[in-house]
Amino acid sequence: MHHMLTINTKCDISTRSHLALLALVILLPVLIFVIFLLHHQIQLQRTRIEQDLLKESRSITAMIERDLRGVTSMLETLALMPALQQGDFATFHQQASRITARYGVGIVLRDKSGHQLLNTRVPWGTRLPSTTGTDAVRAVLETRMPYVTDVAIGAVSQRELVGVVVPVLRADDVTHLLTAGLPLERFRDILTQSGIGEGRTATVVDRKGRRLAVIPGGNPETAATWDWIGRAAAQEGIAESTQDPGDLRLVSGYSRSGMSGWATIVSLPGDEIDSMLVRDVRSDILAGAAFLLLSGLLASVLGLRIARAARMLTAAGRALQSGTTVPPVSTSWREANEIGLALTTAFSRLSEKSAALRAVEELYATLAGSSPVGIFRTDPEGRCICVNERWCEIAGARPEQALGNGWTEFLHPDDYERVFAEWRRSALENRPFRLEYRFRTPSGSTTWVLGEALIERNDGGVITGYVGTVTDITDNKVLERQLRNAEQQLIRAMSAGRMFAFEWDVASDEVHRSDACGGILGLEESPTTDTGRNFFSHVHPDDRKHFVDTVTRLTPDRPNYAVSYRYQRPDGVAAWLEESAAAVFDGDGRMTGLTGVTADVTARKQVEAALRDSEENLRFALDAAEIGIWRLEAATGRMTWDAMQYRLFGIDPDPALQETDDPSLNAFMMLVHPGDRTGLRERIETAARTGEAFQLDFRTAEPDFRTAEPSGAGPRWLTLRCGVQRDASGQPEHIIGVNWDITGRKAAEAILRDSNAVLEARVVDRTRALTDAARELSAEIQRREQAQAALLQSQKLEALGLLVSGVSHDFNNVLAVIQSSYNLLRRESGGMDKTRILDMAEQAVAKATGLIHHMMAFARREATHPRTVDLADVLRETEDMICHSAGSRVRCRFDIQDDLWPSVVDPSRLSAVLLNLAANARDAMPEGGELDVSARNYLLGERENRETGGWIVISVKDTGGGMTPEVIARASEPFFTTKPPGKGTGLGLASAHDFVRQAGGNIHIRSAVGVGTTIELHLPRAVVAAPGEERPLASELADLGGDATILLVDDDENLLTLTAQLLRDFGYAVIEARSAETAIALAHITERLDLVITDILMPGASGPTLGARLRLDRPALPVLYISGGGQGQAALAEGERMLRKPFGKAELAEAVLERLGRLPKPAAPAAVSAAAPDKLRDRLRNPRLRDAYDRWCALRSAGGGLPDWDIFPSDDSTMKDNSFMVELSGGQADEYRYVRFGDALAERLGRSLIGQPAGDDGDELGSTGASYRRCQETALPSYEYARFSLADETPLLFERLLLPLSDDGVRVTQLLGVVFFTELPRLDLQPRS
Amino acid sequence: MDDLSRITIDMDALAEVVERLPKEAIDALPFGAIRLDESGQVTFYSAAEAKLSGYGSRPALGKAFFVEMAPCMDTPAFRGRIERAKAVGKYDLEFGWVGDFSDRSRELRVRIQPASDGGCWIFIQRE
Repeated sequence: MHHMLTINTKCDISTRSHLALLALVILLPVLIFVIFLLHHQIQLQRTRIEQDLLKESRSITAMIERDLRGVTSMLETLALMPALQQGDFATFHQQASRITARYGVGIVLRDKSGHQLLNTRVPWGTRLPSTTGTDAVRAVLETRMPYVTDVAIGAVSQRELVGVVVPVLRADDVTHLLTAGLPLERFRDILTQSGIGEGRTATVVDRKGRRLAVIPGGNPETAATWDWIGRAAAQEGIAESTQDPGDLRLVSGYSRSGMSGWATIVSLPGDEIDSMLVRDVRSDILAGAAFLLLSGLLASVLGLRIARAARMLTAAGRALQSGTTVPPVSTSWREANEIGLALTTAFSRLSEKSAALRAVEELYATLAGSSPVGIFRTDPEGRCICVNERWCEIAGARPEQALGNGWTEFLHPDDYERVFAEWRRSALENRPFRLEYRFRTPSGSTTWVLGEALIERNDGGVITGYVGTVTDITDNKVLERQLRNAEQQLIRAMSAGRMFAFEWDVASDEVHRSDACGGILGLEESPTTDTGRNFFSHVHPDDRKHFVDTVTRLTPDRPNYAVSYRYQRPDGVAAWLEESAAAVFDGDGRMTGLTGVTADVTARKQVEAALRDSEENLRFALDAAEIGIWRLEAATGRMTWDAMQYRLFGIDPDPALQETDDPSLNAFMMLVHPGDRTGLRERIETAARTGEAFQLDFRTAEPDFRTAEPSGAGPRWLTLRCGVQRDASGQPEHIIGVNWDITGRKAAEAILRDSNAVLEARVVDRTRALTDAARELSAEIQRREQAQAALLQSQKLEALGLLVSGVSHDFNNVLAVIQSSYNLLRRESGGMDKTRILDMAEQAVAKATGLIHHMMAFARREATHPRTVDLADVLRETEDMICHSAGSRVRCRFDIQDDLWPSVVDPSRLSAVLLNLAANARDAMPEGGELDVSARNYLLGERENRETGGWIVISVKDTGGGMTPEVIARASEPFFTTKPPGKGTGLGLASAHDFVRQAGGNIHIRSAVGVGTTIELHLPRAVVAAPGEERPLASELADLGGDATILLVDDDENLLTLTAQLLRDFGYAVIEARSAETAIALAHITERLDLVITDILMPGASGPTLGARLRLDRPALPVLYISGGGQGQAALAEGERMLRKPFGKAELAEAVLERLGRLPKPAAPAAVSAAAPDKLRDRLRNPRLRDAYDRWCALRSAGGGLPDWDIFPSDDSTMKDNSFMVELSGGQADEYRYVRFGDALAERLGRSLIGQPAGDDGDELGSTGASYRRCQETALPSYEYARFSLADETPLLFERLLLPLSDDGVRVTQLLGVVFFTELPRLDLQPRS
Repeated sequence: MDDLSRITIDMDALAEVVERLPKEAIDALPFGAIRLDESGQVTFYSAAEAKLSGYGSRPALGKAFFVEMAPCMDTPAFRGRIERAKAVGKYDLEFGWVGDFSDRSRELRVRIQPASDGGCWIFIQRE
């Protein structure tokens, strides 16, 4: 309500002001209108005066014109007088003089030249002044009309005169001019006669503005002059003038005479006009002002009355606002009185309502104070406005603590989120809030409450707050929890015991069951209601009768029962149920229901049944095996025997026939053979004392006294085996033993002993046969190898033949030189110097020796085993021979790449193949040409050779005739030749094919007729470095080698041979096998076997399978696996070692020694890192990276800690250019800064990174930050690579090796990165999609 | 299984070979296979990859691989390489990698080739 009474001061205008404004609004236009009217009136008045002036001037002009016209008429009359006509001037003078005398007008007669002939002012005959014609004379002569002159001085009278001139006509001819001279007084008289008004001035002026007459005469300054009026062009009009500043302002009316051209001016001073006008309107204005004053007074009185009424209303309103009594409003304004009455009524009503409200508030306060529930009220934001005492009790808060957001402090922290979530939800969904939550009082206790709240909205639907209650339900909660716990305990107990409770009402046949029944009764759910009839129908038919009997026997005295029965579950399983329940009886002793629990005892029943079965089985087995059982009480020596035990001793088990009623240890001993009795007894007694189980063979006593005679004579052999049963304290309590008859086995053993010698002899024979077979096998292999060697030899010889034919010419030349040299020497003739002869001879001999050396090297009969060969060496050795073979007409050129990779081939076969190809080329170029032999490395060109990573391509190119496609197709067939018979064998290309295929490579022939032929041999890169490149084996490893037999298994023949050679070099004995099956056979006939090295993937059984098979016979046999590529360590079992191809000699040596267990145990920190860096080295592709890695490893193992930063020689520019170094910057563990950056890297990246931080954003150097951190944390080298093949770009391999370095050998301080970019051969990528 | 044993992560046209295999065969490969569509959503996630990466049997299909499943691979470096290659249309990428869901020190080989539907295959082998 308060804000509604707030006065808006921006439009604060009082009632009086409003009224004043109203008056102003009404009066203003009226006043403006009145002023306009007055102004108009004044204008009219002024115009009227001016018109008066004009009118007076007109009348004066008319009077003057009339006078002049009279004079003119008189003159015209005189002109017609006979005297004049007759020229009788004297008479005329006489007659005219009368006129002068009478009217004062002088008459002058002139001739046409203007000379006066007579003048009436002087007597006739008086000499007249000679005057000549004037303007007037000329005007009259021309117009023959009368003319009035301006003011002039009369020549005779010497006065100011005005003349009227008329012509004297005689026979239409002007003879004379007659002039009447009028004195100016005549005009003044006319003016005086005109009777102009008071205060006005009348003036007559001539054409030139000379004043003729003025009245009143004494006031010339008020007379207007023609000077300014003459300027007006109009005939007549009104003019206002001020002659000079400061002069009197005159308003004049003027009119010009048409006859004389004179003007009459009537003037009145402007001030006088104004005063006249003011005089006219003054009384009107005074009257109007008086009326205005009167109306203003009246309005003021009215305004005061209205303002008073408004003041009274305001006072009434203020009183209503402040709640005090509203005074009665009594004014002369009816509406105000009505409003006042309404306010008074409103006040009285408001008072009544306030009283009612106060009563309600008191009631509310009483209710809230005594309420059993806490009550609270909040604003829309949830800030508490008030709480009652009960709320404070529940929350443990003081009322002022709850206000605002303070109440949330008392919420249990775990319920805080829940309460507000529910609050928001309820507000959102517009429903009452209702939630059970907890308060935590400052004393630490927890109160459970049920909080309920309603949203309060105003009429517009806007939330104005919340009001709610909290009810303490802590006790309910405790009870609830206890109840739930009890229920859960019961449920758990029932569930654990596989039982459910039930209640059956006889009258309604309803059964109520607890939850767990479903699982027991085989139902998918757990229906808690059922009918007794339905349940009973599932009881097994065989058990129903017993069930019914049991229940019907119950009486009020013995209401409890327990019954077991089978229950047919819906899934077909029969469950054994055991029901323990009590019957309920009514007062009459009638049974009304059953209540109790039903337990699932199926498992127990099954166990019981199984036990029964087991016992029966055991009994049957014991009987069938004729095993007797006995049991001895350790304390008393009493025994119990079963029936078989009796039978074993030949005693009838029938108790009636037994000699002793009570079997005892003593009795038992009597039945034992006297020779074994003591031993057996001691063992049994020891067992009874110590609890030690034992087994013993013994003989029975002689059967002479037995009643039941067993088969056979003599004592029988029995085996006794016994165990000890201990009591709770661990002391032996019972000895339980079994006996069985072994008489038959004893007899068999005797026979076996006799035949053992024979058997051993047979085994020896068999072994010898196997050895023989193996020897045969080896011999066969040997023979095959020899045959192959022979074939190769024959090919070599063929090539040799070609070679010989090529070199024989040279050789003959050489020999000729030698021969002639010696001839010369012998003769000692000629002038030739002996020394020179000797030089020539020696040169020739040296050349011949070289030739022979080459031929011998080629034809050398040596083992045709392929080995790792430096191809460049072989090619350079062969260069001379090939060029010789090509003949002198062929220009021979060799182009061999410097760092040619090694390959595994037979060098002599390679030479032979190249010779054959060269011979082919020579034959193709009978007219001469060019032979180019080149060799180069080729990386990853063919998909088959991924694992070795490269090829060596040797190409032999000629410029001969070329081959047709048909010939190319058959070129590799043996014995196909295009040469004439006797020139070639047709084996050249075929053997080349054979050679390349055996080396694992392939051959490419490119040829076109007329262009030439290129034959390319693609040889795989050796997986093992050539001997020359191999780093020297650590001497301590070399010392550990040898003295072991190794079974080497690999289906790759080359690798098998090569690896075997390496192992033999280390001093090991090696058995080679090309398949797992062969390996198993060879292992069987080998006595000593220390290690198996096997490929993982082979045709037939795999490496791991082979290892497992061999370990059946030799469980501790170590195995070293070799992986070709895809198979990972993951394929192998824990603890197995894998060597990945390609491997080096040192790696092989180390791996073998490790498997043989000959390596010294590495120190603890090294052990952690041993496996990972090895795996890492396998993955490095660039040899320079391996170099760097090996150097790091060597420095590390030599120094015993991390190497420092200077690990490369200072002159190794390749390493320097392709490496960078980052340093840990500052104390931050993960901030790195580049401190060195190789030139090659900077060139590739386009900038150097020196001084820059290394971040996580990937760049050309790969994802950096994470790898650096990892390398630093593990202190181990790390390796990353990326191969990019994008569209048509050259594929690029990026490799980065990170090596941790340290200043102090322990803490990683720098990381050295070695980065190589390798361009790879282009793959044929096809866009997909 | 003989056929499968020939399929290694090193094969040239690995994506083509894998696409011809039935789903069970891809699941049985010794390395993981993931196919992303053009928008980077996972459209195939082999059982081997689920097992090997430790990602388990959580539903993988339809999820944005980098955003939801392998946030640690969502680096500008890794993702950028794929995006650049995709823009070109034909590519064959291979990375040696470190870091995985369950074992940050495990080493990985990742091969990426275009899929026939315009997306790409990611093959991951762990050692």
